[in-house]
Amino acid sequence: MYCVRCGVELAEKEGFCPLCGTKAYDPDEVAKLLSECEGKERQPAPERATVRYIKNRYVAIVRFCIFMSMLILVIVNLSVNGGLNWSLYPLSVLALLWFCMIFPVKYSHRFHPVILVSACVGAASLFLIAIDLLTGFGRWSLIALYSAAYACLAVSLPLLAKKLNAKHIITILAACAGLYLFALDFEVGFKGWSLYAACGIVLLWCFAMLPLYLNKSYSALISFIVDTLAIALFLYLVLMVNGAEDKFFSLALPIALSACLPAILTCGVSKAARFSVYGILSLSSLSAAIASLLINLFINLNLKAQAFLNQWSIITASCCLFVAAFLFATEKSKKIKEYLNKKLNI
Amino acid sequence: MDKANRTWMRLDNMANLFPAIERFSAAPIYRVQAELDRKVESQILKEALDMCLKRFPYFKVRLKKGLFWAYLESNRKPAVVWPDGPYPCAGMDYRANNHYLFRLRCRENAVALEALHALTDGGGSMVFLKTLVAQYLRLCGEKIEPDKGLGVWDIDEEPDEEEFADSFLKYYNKDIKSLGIKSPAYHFRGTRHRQDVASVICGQMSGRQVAETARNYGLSVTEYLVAVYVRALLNVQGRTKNRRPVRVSVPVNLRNFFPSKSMRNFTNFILCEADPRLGSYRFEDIAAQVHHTMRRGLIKNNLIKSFSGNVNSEKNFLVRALPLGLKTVILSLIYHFKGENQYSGSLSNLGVVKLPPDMERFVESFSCYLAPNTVNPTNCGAVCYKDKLVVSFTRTVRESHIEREFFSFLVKQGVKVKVKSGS
Repeated sequence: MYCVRCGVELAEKEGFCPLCGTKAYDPDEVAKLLSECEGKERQPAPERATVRYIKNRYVAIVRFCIFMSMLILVIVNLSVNGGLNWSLYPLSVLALLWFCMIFPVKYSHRFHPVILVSACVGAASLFLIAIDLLTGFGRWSLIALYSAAYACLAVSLPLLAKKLNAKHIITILAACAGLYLFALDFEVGFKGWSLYAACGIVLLWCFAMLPLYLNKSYSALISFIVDTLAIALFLYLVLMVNGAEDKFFSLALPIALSACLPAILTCGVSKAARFSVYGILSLSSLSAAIASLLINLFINLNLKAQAFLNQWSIITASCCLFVAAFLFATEKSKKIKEYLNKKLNI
Repeated sequence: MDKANRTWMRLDNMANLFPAIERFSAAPIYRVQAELDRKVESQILKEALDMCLKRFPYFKVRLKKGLFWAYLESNRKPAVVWPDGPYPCAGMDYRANNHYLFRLRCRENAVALEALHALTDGGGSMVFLKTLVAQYLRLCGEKIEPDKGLGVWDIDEEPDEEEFADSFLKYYNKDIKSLGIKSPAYHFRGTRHRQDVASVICGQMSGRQVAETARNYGLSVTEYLVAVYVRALLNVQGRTKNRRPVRVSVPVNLRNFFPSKSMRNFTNFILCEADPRLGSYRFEDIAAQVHHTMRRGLIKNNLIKSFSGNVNSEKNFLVRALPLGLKTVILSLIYHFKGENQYSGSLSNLGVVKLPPDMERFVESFSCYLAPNTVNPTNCGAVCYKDKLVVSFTRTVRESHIEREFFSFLVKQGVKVKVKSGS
């Protein structure tokens, strides 16, 4: 049996065509009815108006409106004051508006959106500088220019620099942020606050980005050492700016070393002993316990307190020691290790 | 998993996605079915299954949840053989199925293996089914020699370590980033059946006849079927407003391109597209477009590119650090926008199935079915055995417009098609 609408042969049990629901017919009628069904091809839908047409219409309307506004302003200023004076301000606003409303739309197919937006931001900055010059150059427009330049760089660099790795882009942006802050500080009369910010950026870069640039096998060890140096430098700078250099060797450096040296030792020992992740975490907990006790000890010595240790460091250290003991037991017990491995997908 | 004293194993790169997107009404299930020359006895089939599972320990597993990822754990409970129901690829009741990720069903003379994609792909399922059927026939008294080249494995052999491996990790390129999102594709909308039900329409035709017709257009059989499917979807969409691109997802068995013994997922997809907004297409245009898309997609480097992004995403520290619950939500969103939303339907062609000569006479036909997903209510599977090409459409809607366009076009092309409803 065949379906007269679809032309397919139907399995013996099919009383109706499963494709169209038509009742099964005798095969002799198929050819005649199939030919009736053919020739009913659908007409393609008419093409819609093109984007270019809409764009051109928009550009023409905006251009006409702005041109008419400019013309009216010029005529009024000339007829009332006999020359161009106050109308220069609204005219420059309209010129900026012209550029920002027409340029991105008209050249959207030719330039990357980032370039279009950057051009508009650049035009706005130039406009602000022009206003600043007209009102007797108060240098405030330069701050706007720096901010606009940095904002454009921050947006355009990741989108345009396709060949650059993400880590390089972040490094360049961090360096530019530091320079931008220095420039701002100089513009408002150098007060030194940009040094804090710049050193903070360097410190964050050392923490987050440096390991990505280092050789994988020793990255943790080297980055811990560099982090320690960066922290020490940052602390020294903060104390120096505040006129308290003497506290650096008595308090800041010992605290920094108390936190960092156990971490460096953990890295070295776990690498040498070839510990798994549980062994490394166990050593890290042990380091945290030692660090908390040492930090508390140095603070108390500096404050000349009666007790060497306070309650907080003892509680912290005991918790860390408990975790370290559990993790060390896990490192040594195959059964617990396997259970945790599958639950944590290690 | 006795081979390496494993009690658990990680999900492979592709399988990581499937537990996140699984719904009872639209589970990512794959069904391969063999029809024998005799009535299938479920008791003997159960015996054969237990024997086969010793050779395929990576299928004797259950899905468990870890803190960061789901994983597969060795399953000590016995596997179950189910009587086949009217609807293939229905959602799995894990508790009733003793937590197995596959379901073996039998009906009259048919044996069907329905496997969750988290377990394996079509290639792996087919090897398991062939070996199982061979063992069943042996238990029925037939003498069948194993032939690993033809997918009938020796069940007394020890499993190879490489069969457990995730081959994506072996061949991916760590410099390739995740691929971008394409615009949403056309999705057929129809009147939904009640939940967990997928109805089936199968078309049987001569493989040789289809191959000859395909050759007239300079296409392979898969390319030809994909082109017909794209045309069917274009024609069905032609009746609606707001037209969108039609894309058909074509799974590619990567074992044919990269040496791999893995029995886990090792498949990727090529999207064949036709955009009706650019104007109407003749079939020759669609055929040329599909042909070139497939040829380009099957270049080894492009295949590496297509799956490397997924592997790199899995290896990303931030992704790994997310807890499983959060990961499930994010993965289901990613799958929606980067997966099912980007294509209008899938066509999986398992190709020509061959069996050892002493087994061939006992098996009459093979067929394969893909479960429809929540966005695309129709999917298509094809397999050819002894010159009988079976193209099966599964759908979760009442309307069968796509199937009708597909099969009636084949008839117009001079291919004799025999259609039946149900598996």
